[in-house]
Formats: sequence, C-alpha cells, structure tokens
Amino acid sequence: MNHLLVVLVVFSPLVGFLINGILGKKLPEKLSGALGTLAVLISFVSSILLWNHVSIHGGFETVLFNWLAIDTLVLDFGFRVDALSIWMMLIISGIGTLIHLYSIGYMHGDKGFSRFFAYLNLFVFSMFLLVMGNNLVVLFFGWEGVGLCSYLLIGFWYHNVAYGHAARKAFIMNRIGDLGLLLGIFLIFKVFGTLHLATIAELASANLVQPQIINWITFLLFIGAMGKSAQIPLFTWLPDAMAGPTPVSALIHAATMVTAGIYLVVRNANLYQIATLTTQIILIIGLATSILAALIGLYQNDIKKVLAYSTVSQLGLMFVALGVGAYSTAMFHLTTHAFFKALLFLGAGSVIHAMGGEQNISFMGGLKNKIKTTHITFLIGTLAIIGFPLFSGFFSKDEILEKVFEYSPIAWGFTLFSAALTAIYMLRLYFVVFLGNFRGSETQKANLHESPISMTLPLMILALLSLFGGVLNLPHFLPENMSQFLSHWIASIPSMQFMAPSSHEHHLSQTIIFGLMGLAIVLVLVLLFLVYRFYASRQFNILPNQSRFSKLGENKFFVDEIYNHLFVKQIESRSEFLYKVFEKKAVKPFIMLFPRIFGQLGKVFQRVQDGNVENYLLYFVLGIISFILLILL
Amino acid sequence: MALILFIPLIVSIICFLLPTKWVKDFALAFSTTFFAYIIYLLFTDFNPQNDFHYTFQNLGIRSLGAQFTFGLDGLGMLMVALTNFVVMYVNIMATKKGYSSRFYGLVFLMQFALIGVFSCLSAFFFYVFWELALIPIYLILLFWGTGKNRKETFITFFVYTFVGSLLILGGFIFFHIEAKMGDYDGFQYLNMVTRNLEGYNALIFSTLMIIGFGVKIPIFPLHSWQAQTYKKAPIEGTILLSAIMLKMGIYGIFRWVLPFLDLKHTIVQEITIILSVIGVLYGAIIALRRNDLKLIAAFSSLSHVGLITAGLLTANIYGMQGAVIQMVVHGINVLGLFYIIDIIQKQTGTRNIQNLGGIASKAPIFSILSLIIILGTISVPLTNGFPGEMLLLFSLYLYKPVLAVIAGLTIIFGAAYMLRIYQLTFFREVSVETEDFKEISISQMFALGFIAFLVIAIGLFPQYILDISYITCTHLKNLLATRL
Repeated sequence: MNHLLVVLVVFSPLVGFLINGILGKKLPEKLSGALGTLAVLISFVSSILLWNHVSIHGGFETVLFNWLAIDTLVLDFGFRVDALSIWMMLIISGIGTLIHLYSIGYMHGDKGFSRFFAYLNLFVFSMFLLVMGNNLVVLFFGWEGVGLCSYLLIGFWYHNVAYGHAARKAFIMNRIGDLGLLLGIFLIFKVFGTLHLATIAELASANLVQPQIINWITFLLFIGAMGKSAQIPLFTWLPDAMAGPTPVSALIHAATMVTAGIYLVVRNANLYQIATLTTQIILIIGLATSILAALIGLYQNDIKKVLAYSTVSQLGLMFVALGVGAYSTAMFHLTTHAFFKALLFLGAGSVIHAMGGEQNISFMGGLKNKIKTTHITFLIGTLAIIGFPLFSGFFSKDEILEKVFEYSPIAWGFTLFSAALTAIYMLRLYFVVFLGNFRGSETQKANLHESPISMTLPLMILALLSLFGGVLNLPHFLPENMSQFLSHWIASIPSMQFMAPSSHEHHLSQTIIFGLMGLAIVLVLVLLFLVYRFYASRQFNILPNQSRFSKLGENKFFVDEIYNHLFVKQIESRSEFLYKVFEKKAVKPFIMLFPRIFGQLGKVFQRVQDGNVENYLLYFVLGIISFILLILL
Repeated sequence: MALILFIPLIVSIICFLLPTKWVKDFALAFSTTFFAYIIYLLFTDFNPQNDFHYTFQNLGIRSLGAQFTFGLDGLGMLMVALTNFVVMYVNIMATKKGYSSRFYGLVFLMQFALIGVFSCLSAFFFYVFWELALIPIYLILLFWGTGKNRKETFITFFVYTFVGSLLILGGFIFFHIEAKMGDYDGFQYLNMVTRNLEGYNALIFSTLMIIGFGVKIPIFPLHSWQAQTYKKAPIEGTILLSAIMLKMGIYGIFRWVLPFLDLKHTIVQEITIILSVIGVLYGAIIALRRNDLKLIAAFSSLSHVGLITAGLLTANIYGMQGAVIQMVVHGINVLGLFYIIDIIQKQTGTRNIQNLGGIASKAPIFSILSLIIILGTISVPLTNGFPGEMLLLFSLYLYKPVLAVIAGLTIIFGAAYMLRIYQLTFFREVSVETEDFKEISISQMFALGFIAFLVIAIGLFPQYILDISYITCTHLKNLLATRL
C-alpha cells in the first residue's frame, strides 16, 4: 500500500507530463490544464495519506529497481519517505496544486498552453525525486532534473532571445554548483563507501572520519546548494530567471526548487553538525547574500525583480539559520516563505495580468480599489514577509533571530539589519503598487480587471496559510504540547533527534528572548510608519534617485558585468585563441610533419598508378578474398 | 562467428555488383536485419558470465605464429552491436541521396573490417583488419567529400592514421620479441596476456601503442586531422568516423594496451591521462564559440572522448565500465547529433547556427527529439550520457581528485555550448533560411525517435549494458591486480 502511494506521488506528475507532452496539442485548453492540475493533486492526496502513515509508524524506504551496480557501488532507484521528505512533499504538491490551478487562468490563450503544463508536471516529478531519493544519486537526478525544467520554463517564450539567454545562464550557473555537488558525492563514496543517505547519517554520527574531510564534503555539497539556492557567488541567475511566466517564478524560483539547497543541508545535518568550518562559511555567505540582495531589491522597479531579490535574500536568511545549526528553524522559514512568497509572486502575476503585461511599478499605483482580492492577499503576504506580529513570517524570522543571537550577537545585528531591509523594500513595493494614483496609460486604466476565480482562489488559500502558517512551529516558551511542532516532527527521525527542542539547552534567559522579540516588533512598526510617511509625502510614487549608492543598487552592484568581464569574456577569448591561433600555428604544423615526408615518397610511387579507382577497388576486394581463401584452406 | 564476420563481406561484394536502383533497399533491409540479429543474440544467446563466445579458429599462417582466432566477449559484443547500429543508420540516411552501388559496397566492407577488429583475438589479424578498415573510409571521404582542399585534408587523415597503424604494428612486434612469445601462437591474445613487459620495455611498448591508437581516438594533441576531416567528409563518413571508428582506438587501448600495462611504471599512462584531460577542456572551450554545427560536434567529440580515454587508463573498475558504456553511448549520441545536423543542412542548406533559428515553431516534433538527444550529450541524469560520465569522473577522482575537477568542468562547458546550439538553432525567431522548414517525415521521426528512445532507455537502465561488459572488466582488473 505504501509502496503504491509512493509510486503514485512520484509518477502521477510524470504521467501528466507524458499526456500533455504527447497529446497536448490535440487537447482543449481546459482539459489540458485540468489534467496537469489533477496529476499534482493526486500527489498531494497521496502525500497526506503517507503523512498519516509516517506519523504513526515512522519513515520507510521503498526501492523500485537497481539502477546501477558495480562491485560495492550499488545504486538503487529508491525512495525514502520520512518526516523530512514528507514535509517537503506536502509543500511541493500542495503549493504545486495551487499554482497549477492558478496557471489555468494565467496561461489562458497562450500558444504553448499544454507545453507549459507538461513542463510544470515534469518539474514536480523531478522535485519529488530530489526530496524523496534514498541515496545521493537519485537526489542528483532530481537536482539536475529541476534545473533542466527550470531552463525549459525560463525560456518558455522561446522567440525572445533575452529569455533564452536567461534560461541558459540559469542552467550553466546551476551546473557550476552541480559539479561541486557531484564531487561531494564522490568524496562521500570514497570516505563512507555508500551513497545511501540514512547510512551516511549513521556513519557520520559515529565520528570516525577526520573533521577536515567532513569539512570538505560538506563544503562541496554546499557549492551545489549555492547554485541551486542562489547564494553568493552563484546568485545572479535567479533575478534573470524572472523571464519565465510568473507561475514558474512562484513555484520554482520561490517556493520549491530554490529551497533544494536548504533541504540538502538539512538532509545531511549529521555531517554539518560536525563540520564547524563549513557552517561558519555558510553563515557568512548566507548573511552576505541576504544583505546584498536586499540592498539591490531596494532599488529595483520591476515588480518581479524586487520579489526575486527578496527570494535570494530570504534564502540567505535560511542559510544563516543553517550556519548556526538551527536546522528545524531553517525548515520552518522555508515553509512560511514558501507560503508568502508564492502568494506574493502569484499576486504579482495577478497585478501584471490586470495591467496587461506591465511589470514596471512606476506605471502602477492606486490598484487598491481596482483589484480588491489581489490587494488584500498581497497585503497579507507583505505583512507576513516583513514579520508583522502574529503573521507566519513573524514567527519564523523571530526564531532565526533568536538562534543567531544565541550563536553570536554580532551576526544577530547583521541579520536584524537584513530583516529591516526586507521590511523597507517590501513596504515600498506595496505602497507604490497599491496606494496613491494610477500612473499607467489610459488603455491600461480602462482594462484594469480582477483575475478569474482560478487565479484568486489560490491567492486566498495562500493568504490563509501566510496568516496562520506560524502555528507550525510556535515559540518554545509556550506550553510544550502546542509549541515547536515542526522541530519535534523532524526530530522524530532517529538520526535527527538532536534537533528536538527539549534536548536543546537554552542559554538565553526569558527576559532576553522577550526583549529580542519586542525589539523586532518595535522595529517593524517603526519602519512601517517611516516608510509610509516617506512614500505618502511623494504620493506613493518613486522618484529617480541620483545618489551614487542608488545607482549602484539599480545596476545590481555590477555583479553581472564583473562576472562577464572576469569569466565569460576570458573564456571566449581563449576559445578564439585556441581555435584560430593555437590549432593552426602549433598543432597543425606538428601534425603535418608526417604527411610532408610521406607526400614526398608518394610522388615516387605516383607513376605506377593509373588513376582508375574502380580498378583499385576490384583489385582490393579480390586481394582480400584470395587472402582469406588462403587462410581457410 | 564466421557468420557474423563474413556475411558483411559477402554483402559488400553483392552491393558492388548490384545496379544502383536496387542497392539501397537491399542495403537497408540487410543492415536492419543484421542489427536485429545481433541484438537478438545479445539478449538471448549471449551469456555475459562466459569469457569469449562464438570462438572460431583456423590455422592461419603457422610459420608466423599467427592463428586466425576470433571470439567475442562482452566488450567485443557491444562494439559489434554498435557497428551494426551505425551501419544501419548510415544506410537509413543514405536512402534519399542517390549514392551509387560502390558507396554501399564500401560501407559493408568497412563493417566487415570493423567486426574483424572487434572480434579478432590474434594480434596479427587484428592489425590486418585495423588497416583494412582505413581503406573504405578513405575512399568514401575521397569520393563523396565536399569543400575546398579536401584532398589535402583527407590525405593528412590517411597518412596520419596510417603512421599510427605502423606504430601499432611495431608495438606488436616489439612485444612479440621482448616478451619471448615463441613461434607458435605467439600473437594469440590469450597467450599474450599471460606475459607482460617490465621497465623500459613496457614503456616503449605502451608509448608505441598509445600513440598508434591515440591518433584514431584522437588524444590531444594528435587531433588536428579530426575537425577538418569531419567538416569536409560526407555526413555518412563523419558518422562512420566519429560513431564507430574512433571507438576502434579506445577498444585498442582496452584490449591491446591495458592488459600489458606495467603498473609499477606508469609514466606513459599518467601523461596520457593528463593529455586526455587537457583534450576534454580544450575541445569544450573551442566548441564554445564555433558556428559550424559540424565543427562543434567534432570538438565536442574530442572533449567527450578525452574523458573516456582518461577514465579508462585509470584502470580501475569504474573507469573501465564507464568507458564501455560511454563508448556505446557516445556512438549513439554523436550519430544522433550528426543526423540532426544532416536534416537541418538538407532543409536549409546551411550549418551555420548564426543563420538558423526558430525551428521549434516550425517543426515541434523534430525539436523535441533533438532536445532529448542533446540532453543525452550533456549528460543530464536519466539520459544515457549520465551513468558513463559519472563513472568516468569518479574513476578520475579516485585516481587524482584534481583531474576530476578539471575534467568535470566539461559538464559546465558542455551544457554551455550545446545549449547555445540549441537556442540559436531551434529557439529565437525564424530566419530566412528556416522560414520554409518543414516537420520531418514519418520515417525520419522513427529513425530519430529510436535514438531518442535509446537515450532515455539506457539512462534509466544502464545496468543492462554494464552487465554485458562486467566480466571483461573484472577479468582485466584481476589481471592487473596480479601485476602489482
């Protein structure tokens, strides 16, 4: 039964992909979309049933077939369903279903409608492989699979050259990370002799391996995570990835795929537990990414770009949590972020839909009364992400802040700064888009309309989740039976018991904890007031800013240009040099040495031959036959 | 065995004699049947647990100690299957081009020689077949090649590989003398593997052989004949060269170099691995900026094959098994790639990617099949390129981690140049050249679809291939272990 459910979870999106991929063109739009959505819904329902099983009996594994076996390298195409993977499965399939539903409305009338659903289903399938694989190679299948789907979906509107570039950039930058991950996998096999995740966790806990090697392993895996989860230095692909249709941004580049790096670290938490050096690196990179992306986000005027940098920044915060060893906290923020960021992206999609494709916020404004449902839900999402008290983001961000303070007050200061920046750029976005006067064209104004129910229903559901998502892991000072649900849940995996809140020594006194929380609340409220004042004074419009720093921010600190100059241009000029100069000047003369000598010899023999090729052929074949006859007889 | 070997020769003679209007159907029918027959043998009759199958012996030239011995183990069997697969596709692609009888005759003659190379267990006759294989391909290039200065290019190719062959012959003779093989059966593979050379002798032997085989593969910096030859050859010739002939070189190292390695003196082995890894990067970097599809395929081939050679020479089980599966996979994928190029060139008259574009909207099915094959060549997991590449990189990692890192860059560059091709050719707006691009015909869909099917099938179930060659590789591994 469980085996069947697992198969159903994983393969129902694959079947959806095949149906839409092969028959898509012949299916009517409604059916095509319904099939795609249904495929993910089946996964969701199956996941819920599996959740029930896991909560009673604990995790289990199931193997489909042996994929590859050479001596001790035995790799099964096998799945693991435990507290951690089922959590991810529910997020993927749950939010996945909502976004599929939303896409029916959003993609209405697009020529590639069925192709879109086919790719989206293929993505969900790959994502399941990633989080459900019971060994690192199946995880890697999913890891590259989601990268591929991301490529296909970013470049979905393939006539546009710039979109194609963005898609390639995403794939190639991800592959840099993938190489790190692959090398990490090699090292793990060399050290532990297995790639089976549960066995690795067990062996890691036994502490038999030198810490230095563990640091290497974890660092290599983290390189993979940098690529997939868009951390410095591999973050520049994510903002460009906004070229894809908005539901793609919501599903892949906010809620699921980009969190794969966090999943990878949490899944191997037993290794990261003992890798002190790597975790420090993770903390620093996470913090730096979080702040840099938030700073850039302050100066972007494209609604999706703001959200994209916000995603990079929030992912950075999750890595901060991982860096201080707060694994379940990172999972908690991953979850709430999946709710509110999916909501914000879908909301942005609804705004873009209403604006007839316009993405520049300086042409929006005053949408509050025009698209009410979108407005309310977007407001809820904004309040959730800035950590307004009692919204889901409040709890998860506060937990990160507390854990970081416990680790290092300096890091806490930076984290708080990043959280403050989040509040500023998100409030700016909200005010400029929804308040003030409409600044778009007359035709846009005339055509402003609320999106159809298939789009607003997912918004409403996600808004509820963003509002109440905090209950999944309420603070530990509340009574034990209602607090820290997620932490307890993940700690139910035997190898992850150390994540249980009860086993965790609280160094901080109650006063400090409440003090920190109070500070965060006050900060949000003050910022809310200040940012409102600031934008109210300019009619909720953004004015061109001439300061040098804002120029830097608008140009994304020139990171793309620097990479282009340092790497792309260098490699391209090497390519030209090797082909046009090195091949012709160095390799060819070297190689022509022999032909020259033989060419001279050839001139001597030339006279013997009459030039009739047919004759040669005949002699040649006859020669072979007589030769063979000679041997056989 | 005699049947597998000699039927292509007989067919070749028939083709030479048949009039042109019948020959292509005959050729296609025969090669398809023959391929089916080999696959049938592979899955029913062939037992990977045994060493050599279908052995066939005759007296040969006794005074030279050269017995006429044939047999197929897992490795040989896979190569024979690949040969037949490639020949079948060459015939499929040739159908609409109006080639004369002698084209088909030469193709089957080539098949005969290739099967001989892959099944011959006597060094002497191996060499004979090795040389024999060169002649038909040379003539195919000469008769049906295009482009200016092609004669010079092809002569370079011929002379170059011919010199390589002489080195191989020299190597065999050197071994024969130095290992004191004696007169009787001295060129027998099974007798040769019981001996080995040591010290300087081993170095001389492996240098001769690796350069000889390295020309064909080609190993950097012996590759200069490759790009221009591929470019100017008729597409069928390019396919024969890249999909199967270069496998002769790798096979040669597998069968005739590895078993005789002196693992105490590995300098030649090390240098070759390093050169191969340089080739991996070199080919990939050059491919990044080329605009001629055939050139890109040629340099990507240099890159892919470098990884196979490097992994194979690490001589651990992962490298050997990875090399086997990657030889098969590279054959399939590069064939697919050239097939795609051929279709594009026939329809648009150009191979320059800057002039192409927008084919995805004109021919969606062709685009999807092409995408699958391209994903195979960039080794996306669950396509056929992945298991081999993973194993080869892993073998390099065990050998020297830094080499795996350098060679591993190919997964980044490979993606970069292949996706560049794909975007410029299939995406974007249509160009003047692609404006009238038509969806491929049903028969082309079947042919290309079968390749795409293999890309996914082997990616999902690589173990079927690994099982076939497992005993070959294990024997080799054990043999080498006794030398340490």
